[in-house]
Amino acid sequence: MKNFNHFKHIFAIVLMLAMLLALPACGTSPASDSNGPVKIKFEMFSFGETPDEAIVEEALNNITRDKIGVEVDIEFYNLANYEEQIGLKMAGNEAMDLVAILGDTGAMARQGELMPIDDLLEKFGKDIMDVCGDLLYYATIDGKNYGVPFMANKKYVATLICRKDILDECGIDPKSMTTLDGVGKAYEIVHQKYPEMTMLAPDGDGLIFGYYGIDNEHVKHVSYLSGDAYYLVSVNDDPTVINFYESESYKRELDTMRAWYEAGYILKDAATTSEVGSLSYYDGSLFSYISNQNCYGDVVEPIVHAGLSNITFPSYAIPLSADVVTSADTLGVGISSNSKNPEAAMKWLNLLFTDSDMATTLYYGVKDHHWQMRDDGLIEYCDGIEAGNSGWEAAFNWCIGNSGASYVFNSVSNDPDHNKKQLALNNSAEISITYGFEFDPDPVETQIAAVSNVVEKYAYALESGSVDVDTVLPQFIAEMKAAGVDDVVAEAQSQLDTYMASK
Amino acid sequence: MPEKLNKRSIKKNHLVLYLLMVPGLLYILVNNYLPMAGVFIAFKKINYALGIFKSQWVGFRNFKFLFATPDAWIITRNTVVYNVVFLIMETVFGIAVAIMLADMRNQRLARFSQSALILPDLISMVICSYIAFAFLSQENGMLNNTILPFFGLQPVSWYAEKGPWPVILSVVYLWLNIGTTAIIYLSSIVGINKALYESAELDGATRWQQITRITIPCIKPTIVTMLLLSTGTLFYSNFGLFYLIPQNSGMIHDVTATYDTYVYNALMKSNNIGMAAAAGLFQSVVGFILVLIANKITAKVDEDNALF
Repeated sequence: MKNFNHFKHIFAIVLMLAMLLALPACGTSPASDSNGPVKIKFEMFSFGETPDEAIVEEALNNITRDKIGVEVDIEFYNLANYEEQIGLKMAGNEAMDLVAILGDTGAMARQGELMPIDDLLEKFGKDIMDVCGDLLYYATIDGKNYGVPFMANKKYVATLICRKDILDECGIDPKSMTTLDGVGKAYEIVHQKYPEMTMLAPDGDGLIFGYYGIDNEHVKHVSYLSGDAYYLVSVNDDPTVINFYESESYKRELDTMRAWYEAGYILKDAATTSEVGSLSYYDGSLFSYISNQNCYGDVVEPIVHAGLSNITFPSYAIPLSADVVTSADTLGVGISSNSKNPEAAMKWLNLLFTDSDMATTLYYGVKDHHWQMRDDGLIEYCDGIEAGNSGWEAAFNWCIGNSGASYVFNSVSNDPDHNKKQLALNNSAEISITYGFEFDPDPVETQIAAVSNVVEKYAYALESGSVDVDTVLPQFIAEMKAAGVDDVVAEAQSQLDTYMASK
Repeated sequence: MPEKLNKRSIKKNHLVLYLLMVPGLLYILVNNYLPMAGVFIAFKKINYALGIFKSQWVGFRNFKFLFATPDAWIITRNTVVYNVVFLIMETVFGIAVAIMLADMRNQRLARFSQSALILPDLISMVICSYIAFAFLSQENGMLNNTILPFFGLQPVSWYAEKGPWPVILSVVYLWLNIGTTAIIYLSSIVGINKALYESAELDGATRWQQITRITIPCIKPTIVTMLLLSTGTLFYSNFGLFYLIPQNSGMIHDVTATYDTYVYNALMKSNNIGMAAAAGLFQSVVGFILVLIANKITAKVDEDNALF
C-alpha cells in the first residue's frame, strides 16, 4: 500500500505538469498583414486527389487579387473525419476564415465554430443574396444566419435509377413507374426475364430508401426537420412534428419492401451489406437502386453517368417523390468564429457566386491546363486529362458556391445555359413552410442518443424487407418510445412552434 | 544497517539502467498522462468560440446518456460477460496451445505453427469482417450455399439470428488472439528447468501429471499477471470485433452491442465531444476500480503475485 501512495503522489505531479503544458496552447495567432492582398484560409473536405492545388490556387488568386484584393489558401481534410478535425483546430484556436459545412450548420454554429453573417452579407454579399433569394436562410438560429448554402437545383427527390435498355426490351413505360405499385409491377416482369439479376439494393448507407419518403401516392411531401433526429418530419406543410417511423406511410413502404423481399427482388444481404448499390448497378448485376437525386424536371429522362465512360447502358432517373425544397440543413460554407478577415472572406465568396472563370477554376481546375473553352460555349477537358484523374478532384463543384456561375461541361449537357436553367428550377419549386428551421438537439441529447441505437437496431432490417413487418415494427416503435422518442418529438414541436411564430 | 547500505549501492549501480527507462517513461507521459488534463471536457458543454476552458460547466449531464437507456443493462452485461468468457477461453486454450508448441519435437513445424497462429492477429479487423462475411452472407456465403446444403441442413439468415452469435464472436476472438497469448505462455514454459521434468519422468509421472504439477505451477506468476492486466480492460470491448464482424446488424444487437458500439452508434451523428469524453472517462474509472479490486483479491490470496 505504501507503494501505492507513492504512485498517487507521482500521478498528482504529472497531472499538474500536464495542465501547465496544455495552457500555452491557447495563445492567439498573429493577425494578418494589412499591406497587400489579404490572405484567407479555406477549410475544405475532399475525397479526391488534389495534387494540382498550388497551380489552381495561383489561378484563383490571379483572378481575385485584382478584383477584390484577396488571396486564398485552401486546406483539405479527409471527408470521413472532417468535422472532428475542424473541431480540434478550433479547440486549438488555429485561425481560419471560410469553413465548408458538411450538412450540419446548426451543430457547428451552436458549438461556436461559425459566426453570424447577416451584416457581412448586407455589406459584401449582395450577389449571394440575389442568387439565393429565399433559399439563403436555410439554417437560422435565433434569427441569425450562419451559412451560405450551395446553390444548384435544390429539388432533391427520391429517384429510381434503372436500366433503360432492359425496360425497353420488356416494353415497360417508365412513366408507369412513378409509384411503388408501378415499380413492383416492372420488377415482376424484369425478374422473370432476368432471374439472376437483383432488382433492388441499398445505395451506400445501407438503407434502401434512405431518409426520404417514397410514398408519393398518400403523402404530398415530407419535410425533414433535423439532422440528428432525422426521423422528425412534418408532412404536407402542416407544422406538426411527426415521428416518421410511427407514420402510416412508413408502414406502407415497409409492407412494399417486405413483399419485394419475399418475391426475391431485393438483395438478400441488404440489411447488412456495406456495398454501394450503384457499383453493382454499374457492373450490370443490379437492375435499379434508389438515390437522392436532383429532380430533372417533370418528365422521365434518360440520364448521363458523368465521368463513367465505361458504362455502356443508358439509364432512366424516375422521380418517386414530390419535388419540394425542404431544409433539414444542406451543404454550404460559413465563416469561422475566429476569423481575422471575415470581410475578405465574404468578398471572396460573393465573387465566387457570379464570376464564371473563378467558379469554373475552383470546380474544375486551371483554364487551358485542366479544361478548355469550346466554340459553342461549353467546356471540355484538355487532352490527356479526364474526370477521375485530372489532378484537381476537389468536391467544390457539388457543395460550395453557385453551380449556375460555372461553365457547363460537354459531357453533362449540350446547352451552355444548362446550369443556369437547373438553378432556375428552384424558382418554380415549392418551398416547404418549415424551410430554415434548425432543431436544437441539446435539451434532448440523451434521448436522441438512446433512440439512435434503437434505430440502428431495427431500421436496416425493416427497410430491407428481411423481417416480418407486423411483428417487428411494433417492437421497434415500443423500444423507441421506451428510449424517449416522445420527448424528442415534443421538444421539436415546441421549437418549431416558436420558429413558425417568429417567421 | 548493512542491509540498508546494500540497497543504496544497488541503486547507484543501476542508475544507467534506470536511465534506459527515460524514453519509455517520456512516451507514456506524453501519450497517456498529458491527455488526462482533458478529462474536464466530460463536464463541459463545449463552445469553440469561448474555448474549452471557458465553456459552460454542466456537471454530470454528459454522462446521462450512458444510463438513461433501457439498453444500459444489455450493453453492460454484454461487455463484461463477453470479456470474462474471452478471458477464460484465452487463458485455457492459450496455455494448452503453448504446452503443445513446447512439446513439438520438429523445430521447423513448431516455428511454422507459431507463425500460422499469430498471423490472424496481423490482419485488419475490416478484412476479418469480410472473411466472416464470406462464410455468413445469405446471398453468396459459403455456409448457406455449400456447407449447410451438403449436410442437408436449411440455410440460416446469420445476421438476423441471435442464437449463434456468442459462439461466432468467441470463435473469431480466439482465432485472432490465441497466437499472441500462446507465445507469451510459451516463453515462460521454455524457461522452466528441464531437470524438473526429467526427475518427474524417473519417478513415473504421467504427461498429465507433469503438466498439472510442474508446468502450471511454474507459469502461475505469468497467468496471474496476464489476468490482472486483463481485469482493467473488462469494461472495454474490442470495437472492431463487435461492430465490424456482425456488420452492425441491428437484429442481433441484443447479443452484440457492447459499451463501445453503443457509444459509437449514439454519438456518430451528433459529434458531441463532451459526451464522448464522458463515455471514455466512465470507462477508465470503472477499469481503474476493477484493477484495484482484482489486485486486492490477489494480494489476499497470494501476496507475491500482486502488482502493488
